Amino acid sequence: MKRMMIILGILFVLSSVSFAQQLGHHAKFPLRCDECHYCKKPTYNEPCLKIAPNFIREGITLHHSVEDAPTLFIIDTLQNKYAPAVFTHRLHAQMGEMLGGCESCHHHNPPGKVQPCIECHKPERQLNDLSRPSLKGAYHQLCIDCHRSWDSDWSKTSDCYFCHPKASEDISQSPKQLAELAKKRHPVPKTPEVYVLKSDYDEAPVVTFYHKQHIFTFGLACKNCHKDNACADCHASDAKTKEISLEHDNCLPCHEKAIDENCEHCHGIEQKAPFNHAKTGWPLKVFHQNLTCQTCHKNQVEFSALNTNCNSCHKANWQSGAFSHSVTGVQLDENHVEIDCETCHLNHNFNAKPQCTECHEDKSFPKDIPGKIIKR
Amino acid sequence: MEEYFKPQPIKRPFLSKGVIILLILAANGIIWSILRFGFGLGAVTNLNNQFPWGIWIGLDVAAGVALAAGGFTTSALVHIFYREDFHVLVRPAIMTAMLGYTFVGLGVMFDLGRYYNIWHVPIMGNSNSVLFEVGICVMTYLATLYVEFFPIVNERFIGRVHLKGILKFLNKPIDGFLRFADSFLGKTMFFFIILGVVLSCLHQSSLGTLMLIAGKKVHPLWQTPISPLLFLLSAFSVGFPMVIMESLTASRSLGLKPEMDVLRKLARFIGPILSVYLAFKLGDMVIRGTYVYLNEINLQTIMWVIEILFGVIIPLRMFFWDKVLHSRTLLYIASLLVIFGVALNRFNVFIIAYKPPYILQQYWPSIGEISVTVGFIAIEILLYRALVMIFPVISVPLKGVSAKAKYAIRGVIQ
Amino acid sequence: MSQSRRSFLKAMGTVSLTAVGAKESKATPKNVVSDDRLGVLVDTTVCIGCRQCEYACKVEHGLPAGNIDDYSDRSVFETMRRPDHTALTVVNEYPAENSRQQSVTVKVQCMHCDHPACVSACIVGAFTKQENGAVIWDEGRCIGCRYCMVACPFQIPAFEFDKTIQPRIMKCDFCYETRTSKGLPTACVEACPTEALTFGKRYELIQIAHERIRKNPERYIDHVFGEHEVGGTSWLYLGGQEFLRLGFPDVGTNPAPGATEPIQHAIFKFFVPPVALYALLGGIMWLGKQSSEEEE
Repeated sequence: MKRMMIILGILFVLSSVSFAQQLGHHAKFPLRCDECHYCKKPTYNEPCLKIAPNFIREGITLHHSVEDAPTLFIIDTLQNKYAPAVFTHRLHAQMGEMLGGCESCHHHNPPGKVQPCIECHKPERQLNDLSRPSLKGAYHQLCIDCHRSWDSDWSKTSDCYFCHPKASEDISQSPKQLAELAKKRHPVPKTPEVYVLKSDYDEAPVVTFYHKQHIFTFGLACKNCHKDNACADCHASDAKTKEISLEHDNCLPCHEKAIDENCEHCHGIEQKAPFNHAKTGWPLKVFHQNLTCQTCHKNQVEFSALNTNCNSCHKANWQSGAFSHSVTGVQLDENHVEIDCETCHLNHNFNAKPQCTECHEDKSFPKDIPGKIIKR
Repeated sequence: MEEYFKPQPIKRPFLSKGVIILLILAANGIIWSILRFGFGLGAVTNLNNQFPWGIWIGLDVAAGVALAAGGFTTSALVHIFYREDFHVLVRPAIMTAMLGYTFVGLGVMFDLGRYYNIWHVPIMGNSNSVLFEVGICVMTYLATLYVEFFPIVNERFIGRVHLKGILKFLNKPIDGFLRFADSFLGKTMFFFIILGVVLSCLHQSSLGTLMLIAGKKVHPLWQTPISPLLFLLSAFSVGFPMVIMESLTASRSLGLKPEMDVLRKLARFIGPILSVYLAFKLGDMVIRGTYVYLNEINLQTIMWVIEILFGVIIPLRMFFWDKVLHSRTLLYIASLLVIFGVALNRFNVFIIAYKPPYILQQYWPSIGEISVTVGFIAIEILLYRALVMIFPVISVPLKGVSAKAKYAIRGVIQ
Repeated sequence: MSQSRRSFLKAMGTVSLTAVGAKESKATPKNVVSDDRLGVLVDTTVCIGCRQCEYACKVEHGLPAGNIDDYSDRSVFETMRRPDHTALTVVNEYPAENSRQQSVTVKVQCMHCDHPACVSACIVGAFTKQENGAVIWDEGRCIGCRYCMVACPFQIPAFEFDKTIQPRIMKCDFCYETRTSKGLPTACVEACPTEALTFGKRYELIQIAHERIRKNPERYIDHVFGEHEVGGTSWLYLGGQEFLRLGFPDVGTNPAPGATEPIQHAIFKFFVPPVALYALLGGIMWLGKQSSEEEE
């Protein structure tokens, strides 16, 4: 068995080598040489390969949600002058969502789950690899870039004591305080109802942007649009007085078609009414109203009209018995429960009025109900 | 009718009103000197980390060296170019140069933070250093000047060494040494004379190279690669005015008849030399395009204009004017202007033009610095007065002597 | 008369001999530019102005350092400070070009030039450039002339003006004695919490600096200060804005000694010009002597 494995292995190596030769030298890869090599003429003896080249930044393949992120880390690997720093990891993960997600800190990752800093950044500085900061340097460089960005006088979150409490104020030993910290979340930002913006498109300058509707009706998460926002975009001293501005890019990719072809979708002469599904010719009734857009507009980036036949979405479970008719608001009585769907809904056309004539000459829907109407 | 001159000690009372003022200034300088060596540079000077060099370097040393140029220019003129008609000027010129350089050396010692290490210069010297070249040349030239002055000492004391009391037994050996020195120098003086001129040319020009290393810290009006040449030319041009100024001052102060004929002849050299200096200075300005800086009005440009206008152009015109050459007062003023111009040039290059990139504290010479500088000048003048009364330096007309006598430094002409 | 002429010629010969001899016996101070020289890369975009480097430097050099907690006082940034005899390195603050960004803090110390002006200028060769890149001062030689301070394009050497005896020239010595000569990083590099300072071989640091610029073109300006300035320096700086607006002097890329060494060498190369001048003057004198003798 072992021998087989070895032979297979050799074969594999040989074939891959020959395949590689067919491909040609790896210099023909679709990468710039300096993505991986830091010198101009790498040789086999001195390949001068870079640590953590950019193109494998997004190596995280096992993603998890922010809520699954570890809550707290007590960083005491390097403690000497100060008490250990308590790092509210989940809180930061949550805050980080709008500025690039986990990868904004976990910037380099071999494929797999998210790796901790210490995996690459060792506590002792490596003199043979100057481009890689030690753990302490990595922590500081990463943290301070954000912390200082909205703190003009260094007194708030970029003060040393903000992260490193004095020894007398060590909270890392107090379970109660730690539990409180673990619960901490960034408050959900307020979402204004509507922005009415003026553009320089003279024919129809007014752009109406229903911010709340995008979140609650269209089901977008903050991070879907706010991808590369810095903390300072909201927290800087001048953030409140700053004018809101929207670029076309902000509306991509959902409104790509509109941006290219249909300006009037957003631009108008005066404020537009919010989106109403009835205008598409398919008013959402009670049941559909509660669904998110994506439930029906599956895999659509830009929504377009769907087949309005029920079975174009509701594909399975159309056999009697398997389908609970109650969800339609009509609970079938004992006699009707057993009947094939097709007996009343001719040709599986569920949009059309159900027919009673197959069995009852004198009855018709909705005057007569094959059961009782229930509340949903 | 030719007048014959013979150098001899001047018989006059040492004290006078002016001398008393000078004595007071000298005493003040000495008091500040004691403070400098007792409490350090910081206690007496306003020097700081932005302005490491002050007037002790800019005036005492740089201007001092330039103004002592009378020595080598005169000795070159008389001994090398054989213009014996200027013979009477050699001894005073050599003596002032000797005094000047002595005080240049003293000025350096005052300014050095570790003056007691001065002996490091000849043994540890860094041959890349311009300052080393200046230092070595000045040291050697100072020694050379003392050697050149020695025949005057010989002339005064050979056969006249009369030590009294316990030192009596030394009379004979000293006299013997003087006689030996006299005969030795008699054969080798030409060597020292040429050496003195070469050394002077070297360090006068190197003084101009000194600030080149400061690069952009020196204002472009003065920062030029031909700075050494300009320094050399200005040293040439200030040599004769210095001799004229001294001669006129001394004759007035000592109540002698000025040697106007000789001085007039000497003054005719100054105009052409000064024109060459001006031509190079302005030519350099045109080539480097530094005249654009004159559009701004600031301390540097004002000082530059004063230097050129009052220090070069006006005296240049004056020396080409016969009226000036025949008037004692005007000749005196013209000479003073050249001296002022060259001294101001040194002061400008070393102090005014020096603008370091980071100035936390401006430099302005302190009372201590000024006192020491003024004290030096006072002592120098007093020493001049004393020396001409002791040694046969200044020539006075000898009535009725018709023998053809050449009064050179002894040894050159036998 | 022939007697005197012969002695004249003999003396001339001696002059040229002593002159040449003098040249050969004079040495220039150690000034090595080794390929493996060390350096420090300062990333001013990472520096937070905590001034731990100032504290570490003072402790390392036995200067009065005070209480470390006082170093978090940022009010010192209100006035510009310069390295002096009490602090061999200082951190200064400069406003950011982008008004929304925090001000930039920049550490200043000796740049340890590859062609140092102080080494070239020092009259007694008290300054030397060591194999590892450090430019250091030798107390045993210095005469206190302060020409190094005049020469330094970065205005670094400071002098103990308040000392009467043995005043020292004070400047960053790259921790030569205690650390870098043994391959250890300098005290400030070790103290820097954000690793804004990277210690290593200069050529590697230059590679790293350019890689950082390439990776973050919006963060840095495309210029490594010290790579070419004054012919190269051991300390290198990365910046997010023009270096002139970070308090760096406008020094150009020519080595700091500038034209002085060529001029100096032109004059003293084998002492040809002085000897030639001597010979010329001697010749003139001799001719003059001949003619005046003929007259007689």
